[in-house]
Amino acid sequence: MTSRPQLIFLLAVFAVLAVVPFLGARYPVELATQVMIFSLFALSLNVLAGQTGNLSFGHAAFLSIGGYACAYFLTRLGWPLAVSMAGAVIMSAAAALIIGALCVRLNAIYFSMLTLAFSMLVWAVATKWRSITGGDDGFVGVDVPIYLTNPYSFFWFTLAVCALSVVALWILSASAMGHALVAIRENPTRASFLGMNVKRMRLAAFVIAGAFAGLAGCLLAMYVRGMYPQTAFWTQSGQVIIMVLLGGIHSFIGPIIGAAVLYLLEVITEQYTEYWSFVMGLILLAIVMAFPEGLVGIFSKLRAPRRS
Amino acid sequence: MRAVGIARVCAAIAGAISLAAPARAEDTIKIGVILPISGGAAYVGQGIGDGVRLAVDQINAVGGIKGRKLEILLRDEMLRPDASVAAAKELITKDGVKFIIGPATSATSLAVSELAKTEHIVNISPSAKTEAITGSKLHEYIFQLAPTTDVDGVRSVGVLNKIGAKSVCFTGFDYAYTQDWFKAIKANMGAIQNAGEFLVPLNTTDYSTVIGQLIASSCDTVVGTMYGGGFIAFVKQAAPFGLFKTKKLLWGANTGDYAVAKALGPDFPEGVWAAASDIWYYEGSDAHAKYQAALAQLQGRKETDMWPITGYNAVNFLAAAIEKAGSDDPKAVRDALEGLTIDSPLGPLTVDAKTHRANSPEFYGQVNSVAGSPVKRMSPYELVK
Repeated sequence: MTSRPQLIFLLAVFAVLAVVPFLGARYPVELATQVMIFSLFALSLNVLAGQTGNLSFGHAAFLSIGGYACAYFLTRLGWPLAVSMAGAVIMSAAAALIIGALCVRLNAIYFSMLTLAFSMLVWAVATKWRSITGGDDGFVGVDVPIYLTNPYSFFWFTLAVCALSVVALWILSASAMGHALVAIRENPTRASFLGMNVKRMRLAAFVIAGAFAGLAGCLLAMYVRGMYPQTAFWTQSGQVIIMVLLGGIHSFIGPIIGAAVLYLLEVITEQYTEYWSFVMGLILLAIVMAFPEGLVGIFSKLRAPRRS
Repeated sequence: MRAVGIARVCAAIAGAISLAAPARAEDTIKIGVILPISGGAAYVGQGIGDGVRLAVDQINAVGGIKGRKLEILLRDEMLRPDASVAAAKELITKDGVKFIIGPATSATSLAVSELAKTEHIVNISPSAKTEAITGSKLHEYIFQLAPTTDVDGVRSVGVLNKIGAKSVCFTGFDYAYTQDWFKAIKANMGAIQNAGEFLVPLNTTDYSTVIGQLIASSCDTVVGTMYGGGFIAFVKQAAPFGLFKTKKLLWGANTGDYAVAKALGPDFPEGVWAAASDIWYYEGSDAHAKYQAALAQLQGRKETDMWPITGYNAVNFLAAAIEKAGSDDPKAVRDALEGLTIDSPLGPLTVDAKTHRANSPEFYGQVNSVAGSPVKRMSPYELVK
């Protein structure tokens, strides 16, 4: 999952991001902020999908739980930012622990379908629990600390949170636990014979993925100044799967590239045509048919002949 | 070689950012328009968009506003609040938009309104009805043209009294519009009895249970809110049980629109009381006839939709406010909009200075077959203000 070229790529990406606020225009700052949030969301899914081999169709549930929790803590309870963010992450992790405990008992498509079912349950709760979530209208008007109301400040804050998250996920991926998760992905039976508690490891991956998705949700709620039931809808889970597949499911940087490319494509395409969904369909088709290893896979293939 | 690869990736990222860099400024007044132009509600967005285009074309045809033409920058709200906010941010920060019309639905409208508040951008909501937009979430830069659900509630009670309803049961999709509208009706229905509420999950396709409950209920009138494909499915499933022969029906969710009548064709139950923002066959004023003629030309058919008038009025309010303010400064335009009256196709329309609401009039009527009309339509009908 991790490699030296990928580390160099990550450093280069953060170097580019650090230059964005100095380009003299606000729009790239806004765009980069959005890309970073969705990259973190995609990275969190990859702990499950890429590293552990469990494709969740309901990952947006944790984005949503983190977002709503953050919005509620900041706005209704008036908690400080750090406490609210920590609370949102804990809420997402707790939800992931409960949902994951049931889901990790199943494999393959059954796992995926159960995650989808729980995700729609979260969506239904978000839609119905009007006193907490605002129902269909959503949780509108999140109180963001005054020092983060400036888009440039929020950009730096998001960059810092995402950088720390990337470092944490990188360490996890390169650790013994990360290698154990890959072993479970490749051959759960053999991993089990080697003494690994496969279900417990998969549950740990599920909780970690949920916690980071919740962190991304918290950033999203503060960025959009609201949280809405659509964030928990299955289409949001579908979109993040496409991001991961587009970038490359078996690499660390794949989800970051996938999220950035898909989001930028969506934003740019949408300025010229209303048929963005058509473009998305074509992208998905191209990935499945021609590039199963995503954009990172293309780079790898281009590099391979030169080596030989 | 590795360094070259990294340089290429960095170049690609920089290229992507530069693609999204600010466009060349032109001497036009840019209006950001955020509407659902894909997915299930696309016909709503296309309708409102037609109204926006018609108004902009008419204003530009006479030289624009103080010599400056209006320019539409249309974006898809995708029925997603986060996508709507992203589109609005793009319009504001990349294109320098100072005025936004839309989005169309309540949740997306609330999300963009919140952004308008922090960015100090004038936001006109043409069609969203949730009371929260200019109620609990009212701020200086948001203006709501559609009648809110509490106003709809009062108007609907007027219709219920007119048709002699003694006992009402409620049905519809279980979501915010339904809950808010029903709450407003119940608060105003006085002596009319509430015989119960039978809601179904949003986008349900099997209505057999609720149809049985409605038939078994003691109510003489059913008030409902299923819309789009849901309303069509409900009608087709309820007709064999004789629901429409035993109960009177008052339906919300713009059921009096041409699109609904066309979709259901002869299956549209006779005698349903419905509402619509506009009807092509209204003959109450020359201004409406003139507007309809222009719209029919734009849409390529005589039977136009109800949605365009909302976008049409939004542009005309904005243009009148810019004209009155003498500049396109959002603060000045905001001040000009407060208390402003325009001559809409359905008569004078005023934005209340305090509430920022226009509470546009709507047509209420009974849908029936009319000789010479290719689809069923409201007859009789009245314009309720």
